Amino acid sequence: MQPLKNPFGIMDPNEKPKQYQNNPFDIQNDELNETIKLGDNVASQEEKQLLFEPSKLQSNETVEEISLLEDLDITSPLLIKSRIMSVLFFQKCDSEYLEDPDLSGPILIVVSLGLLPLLTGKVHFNYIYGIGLWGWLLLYFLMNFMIQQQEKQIEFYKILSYLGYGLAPIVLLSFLRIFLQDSSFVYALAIVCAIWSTASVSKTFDTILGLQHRRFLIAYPLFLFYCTFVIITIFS
Amino acid sequence: MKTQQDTSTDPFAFAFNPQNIENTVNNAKNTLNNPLFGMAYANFGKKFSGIGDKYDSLLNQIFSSQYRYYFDVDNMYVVKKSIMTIAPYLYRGNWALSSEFQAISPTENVHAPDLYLPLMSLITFVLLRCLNLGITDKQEFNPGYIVDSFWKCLVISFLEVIIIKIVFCFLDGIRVNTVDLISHLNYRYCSLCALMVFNILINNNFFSSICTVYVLICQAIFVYKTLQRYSPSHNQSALELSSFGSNITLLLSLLQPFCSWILLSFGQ
Repeated sequence: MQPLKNPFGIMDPNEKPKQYQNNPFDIQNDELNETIKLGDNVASQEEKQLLFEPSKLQSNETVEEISLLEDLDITSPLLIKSRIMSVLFFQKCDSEYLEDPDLSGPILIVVSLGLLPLLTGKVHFNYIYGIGLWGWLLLYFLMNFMIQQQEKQIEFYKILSYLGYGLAPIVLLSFLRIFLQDSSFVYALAIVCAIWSTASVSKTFDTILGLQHRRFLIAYPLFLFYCTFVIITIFS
Repeated sequence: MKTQQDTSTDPFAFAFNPQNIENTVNNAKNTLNNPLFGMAYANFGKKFSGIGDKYDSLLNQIFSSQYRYYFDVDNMYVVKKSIMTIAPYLYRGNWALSSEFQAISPTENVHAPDLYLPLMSLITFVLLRCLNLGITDKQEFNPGYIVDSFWKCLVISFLEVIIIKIVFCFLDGIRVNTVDLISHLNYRYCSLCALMVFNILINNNFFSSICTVYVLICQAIFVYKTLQRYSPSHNQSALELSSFGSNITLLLSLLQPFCSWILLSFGQ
């Protein structure tokens, strides 16, 4: 019977570990019997030292720790918040909002617009989604027909995104409606919210379409669109 | 231990039978290796990839077609046309265009048809009716009323356009563009919006009735003057047909206030 071999080899306490004898990053060419060692092709001595002692690199520069969401380029919660704030307070929004708007914010706003009346016992999801979709389609065709003279075109999802973000003041109205009873103050607040939504969204459309002399003609259909939601919020 | 599954009780025996599996795999290999099938799949792929381009070009075609002239409006046109619907007697003379079959932009001629004003006034009228109902009787209002009102207006407008188109078809030699007809017959919503605003602000039945009669008469005058450009006056002798044409136009113009009266009476 053969003696059992130590699977790790003969353990010699004085023996250096193999990794220090031959660098695993060295390239060995058995045919030409030559070895290209790590660091042979590096020009400067400083970089050569960094190859063997990478801890030095970290000590000179401070590494900023980025959060996982930012590292993965998922900035939706912050983006939605900043865009809603820009719509509510007429602030300048990020440049990406005009070129590549998102739909996550509008979906959140529309769902909250449907959920808030639930607190008063009213279920209006079907009307909100139905009127929103039909209004979006009509506005898409209307806008594109009106801007055709300038040989421009605006896409489906952009209009949906801008209209969705414009519903933010109406969500505020819906929230306040839970606590307020019917009065002239509520009606005045409703008109203010409709005009607020229209003004913020028509500003976005003016920037994109550049129809300065038709500003009111573009704003009026938007006003009608938001008035529909205001009427559903106030009178139901 | 059984080497094969008991096929008498296993419902999926046809799938797990080794012989069937070999046949299935062989058939799949044959189809994939066959160059003809490869060409067929490539053609399918091209078709699907071309659908996106066709969709874009279709939309471009629609938006750059003659229909864009119906939305080429400006502020002055909207104001003038609105005044024309409320007080048509202010615009005397012939309301004809230079050419009935060439698209004219409304910015060039105030008598040119457009679709912006009828569409906006229709939606405004529906919302004003909802507002009126919400203010007067809140318990009766529900969001379905918006949809119901909208459909009632569309159905009545559609029936009116169909009737007038049929009448014009029976009269020889009259060619009317359907979209133009839709445009001409739906300016009524502009005057109806003014009527609704008046009713909301001045809640008085007597004044409301007078205003309603005035609006209906104005609608009849508007449609009469607009449809005169289509009346048959050049086929036979001028004396015979000019009176016949104006009679027909007068009858058709009375259809508009009748339809408006139906909308106002039976809508709520």
